[in-house]
Amino acid sequence: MSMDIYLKFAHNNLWGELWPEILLCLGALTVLGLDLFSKSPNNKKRISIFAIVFQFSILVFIC
Amino acid sequence: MLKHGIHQDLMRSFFLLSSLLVSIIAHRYLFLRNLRSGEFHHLTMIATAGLMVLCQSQHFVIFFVSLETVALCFYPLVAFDRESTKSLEAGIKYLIFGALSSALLLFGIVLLYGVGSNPEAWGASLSVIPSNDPFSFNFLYHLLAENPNHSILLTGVVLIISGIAFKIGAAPFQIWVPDVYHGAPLPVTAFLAVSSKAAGFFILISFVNGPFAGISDFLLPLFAIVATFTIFFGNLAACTQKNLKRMLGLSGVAHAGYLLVAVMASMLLPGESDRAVWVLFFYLFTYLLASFLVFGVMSLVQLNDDTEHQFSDYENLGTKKPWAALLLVVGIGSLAGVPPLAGFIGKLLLFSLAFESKLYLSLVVMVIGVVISIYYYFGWVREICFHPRPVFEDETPQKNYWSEVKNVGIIKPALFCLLFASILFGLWQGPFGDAF
Repeated sequence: MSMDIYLKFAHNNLWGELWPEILLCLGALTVLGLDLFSKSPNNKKRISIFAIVFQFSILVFIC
Repeated sequence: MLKHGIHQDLMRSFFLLSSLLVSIIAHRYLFLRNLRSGEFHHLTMIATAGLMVLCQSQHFVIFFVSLETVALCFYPLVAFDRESTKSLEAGIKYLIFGALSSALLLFGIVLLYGVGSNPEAWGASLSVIPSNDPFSFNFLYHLLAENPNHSILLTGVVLIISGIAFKIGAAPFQIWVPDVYHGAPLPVTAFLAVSSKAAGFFILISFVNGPFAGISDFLLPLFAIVATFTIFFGNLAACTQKNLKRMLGLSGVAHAGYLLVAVMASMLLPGESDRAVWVLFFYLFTYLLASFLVFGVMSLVQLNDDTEHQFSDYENLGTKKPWAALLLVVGIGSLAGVPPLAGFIGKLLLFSLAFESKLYLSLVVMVIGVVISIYYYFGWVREICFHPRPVFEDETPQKNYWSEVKNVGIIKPALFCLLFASILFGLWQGPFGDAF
């Protein structure tokens, strides 16, 4: 099967419509980065609050 | 190919809301149990992104990749409490059953692809060629509509539906549900109960109204048998449970059976299938509100063994923590379908849909299922509100775990918002109202 089908498939998709999903993945990576590199004793609470606020912001933008 | 529309946007918001509520519940839960919050939120957010892409997919490649992304996040989430043998056991079980489900699904996709890529070689016909891509849903719609009795195609469809039945916990693929719900950490149980099930149903209803629309006559009796068995198994098995997480898992199996009736109705209402989709959305939304109310309150208490939530742990909660009892009773009431809560309207709409579609047998089964469910749901309410157990003189007093529930932070206002929404949508269906 030719790969041309998939090139056409990739070009025809509205990838820009996937911004909430892409943003969510970037947020998930940020959370992991905070967990790995932050040495603050309040790290756990900060990460949770960041995840909650981040998801809430995307939800507000989608709605 | 991705599809964008009101249904897809609603499901994206649904998954995001569910993920947000999981994060809110997990905030305190992870802190008290000294579990890693970074990894937890990372996996939850990636799984949610996968679910959001999944509900927009119109192509089997995107469908399978997003489904596996979700599954790969759920495996470590179920086994997240590495100190707990039950959590690890649940993780292993979920991994094995998930792998089996993926294998079935993939085998089904391969069979459809095999016939679709060269129909003549397999004795099938295809006069309308919408595209050269046998993985696209549009292509499969034409292929199945022209060959509704082709045995290989039907086998492929059955295998795909079996794979999805694993995800939604429909019989006879429900066997993993009680064990995994029992062992998984509470926020993960809530996530599995709501998001995983909702994704499965959205896919199923998209399939039966999309690529599989041409073989409704074959699928209807299959779904009728599965729905009947799922409702009876879920409710009867839940009646015998003493562990609340197992009971909620099995009641979730029964809810999957009710939702399968909505899927059947969507096949039987030509041109009106949108109404069935809206009823399914509304039911899933009420299920989200009720489930997070129940799991949210359960996550507040820290028992010796977090997986062993028994009825006795909630004994006389109405006097120990009245606000927690109120939240829990409303959540249980909505799951049971008690008026004037949102769960009641969800069930009522489902019944009326089954009646309109002339699915009388399924309607009777649903009514019997709801009556049975009253027994185990109200057994829990009785423990909370009405039935302080007599204490014997020589008995060691049970530890009051609820006295340690303090400083719950953001969870309390979030749960009260869910309570308000449960009552509000029971009285007024708002934006959903026009669609009914």
